[in-house]
Amino acid sequence: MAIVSYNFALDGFQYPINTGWLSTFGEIDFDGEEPVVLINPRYWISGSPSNWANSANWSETSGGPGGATIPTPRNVAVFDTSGLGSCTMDASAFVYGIYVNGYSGTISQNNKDIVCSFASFFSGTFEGDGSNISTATDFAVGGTCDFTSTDGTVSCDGTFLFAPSTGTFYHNNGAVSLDGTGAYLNAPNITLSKLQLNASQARINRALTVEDQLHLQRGGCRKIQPDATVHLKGDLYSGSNYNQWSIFNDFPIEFDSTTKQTIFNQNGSVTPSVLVNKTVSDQVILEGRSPFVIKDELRIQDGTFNSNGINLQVGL
Amino acid sequence: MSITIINGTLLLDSDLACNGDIEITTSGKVIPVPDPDLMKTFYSYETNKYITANGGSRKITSTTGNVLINGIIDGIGAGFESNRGPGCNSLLTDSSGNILSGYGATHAGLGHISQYSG
Repeated sequence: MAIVSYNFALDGFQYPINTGWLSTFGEIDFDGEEPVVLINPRYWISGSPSNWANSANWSETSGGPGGATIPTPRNVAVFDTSGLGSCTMDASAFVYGIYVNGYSGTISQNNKDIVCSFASFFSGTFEGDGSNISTATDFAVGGTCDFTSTDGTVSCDGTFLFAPSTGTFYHNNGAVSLDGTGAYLNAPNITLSKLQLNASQARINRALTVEDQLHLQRGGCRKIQPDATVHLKGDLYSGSNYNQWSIFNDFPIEFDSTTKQTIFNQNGSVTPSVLVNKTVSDQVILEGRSPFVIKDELRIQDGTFNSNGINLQVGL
Repeated sequence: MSITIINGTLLLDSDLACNGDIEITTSGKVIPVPDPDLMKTFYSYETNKYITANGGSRKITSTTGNVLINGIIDGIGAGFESNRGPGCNSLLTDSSGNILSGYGATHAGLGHISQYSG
């Protein structure tokens, strides 16, 4: 993957994180066909475990001298082969981007927020905990990176990509929230703890599993590939503002755990297709407001669906 | 057009309406669930009184398609004896809004509906 570094004189100018400014110079592209753009990079150079907020650990060039400024919203923090010491975040990271590739150390979130335009983790280990991660565009985990997510929320306004070679993603009981218009969950077979759909025109590419909570918060979401089903092991929260539907390819939700599952329905919500596919003794039970509106299909394949006094309306 | 397919079990203590076909497969079952309080006192009522007192008929309605029943609608499954169950209050409504004859409130004490296609 080619890497291009841009260094600009940016004194006195605060780049807005969510303007798509990066695209002026070329998109981050994860298939290697286009160069990765690193704007005003700050390279992590420490060869031994150390803290984020120490200028001695940062250089303007890969493997260069330390003493550069700690990454700011104008910089991309780069972890590559030039500094393999583990990094503990002792301060929140408000940066333009985080790019990890070739690095084999561990980045510990240490209860600190990460706010950036994009974040790409292609190698090394990330240990998340305690605080949120927010990207105004894309969030990517791939390659050999072993990524333990935050137990807070990963908020992504662009593409949430999970495309590992040998790497892993552990949800750590945290949430993933698609928040930006057109946000795209491209993470085949990933297992999440909580997924919140909070965006207009969101998309899901392939099948995935949600272990604890699926929140249909706002907007709408459609599937890309035919198998793009959400296998839900926990509960569904169908919110009153989740009803802006495209006219085709809404994704189905399959309730297929071995325990009781609950649908919490708010007034005015519209849930995409529902498939109940549980062992016979298990139950999906409705709670909340009547009616429970399903846009396309209700299929009770195996197990019991308990309407619990709430009217069922299939179709709009 | 939407669709509802019941191959497992639907505990129905409300109404079901579908803008398309509704199919209860040969393995499927709909259990119309009564009001728990009425369930306690049901046996002290005459059947007709129960029906009147209940006032909570369960409706399965296909607004633009068909209701195809190859499985069962089973009041017994809700804990009632045959011919005393709340299934007697189930209403099956066809695409024209007509209640399917023989399966309404006048069919006192419905236990099962099976092998019915309409």
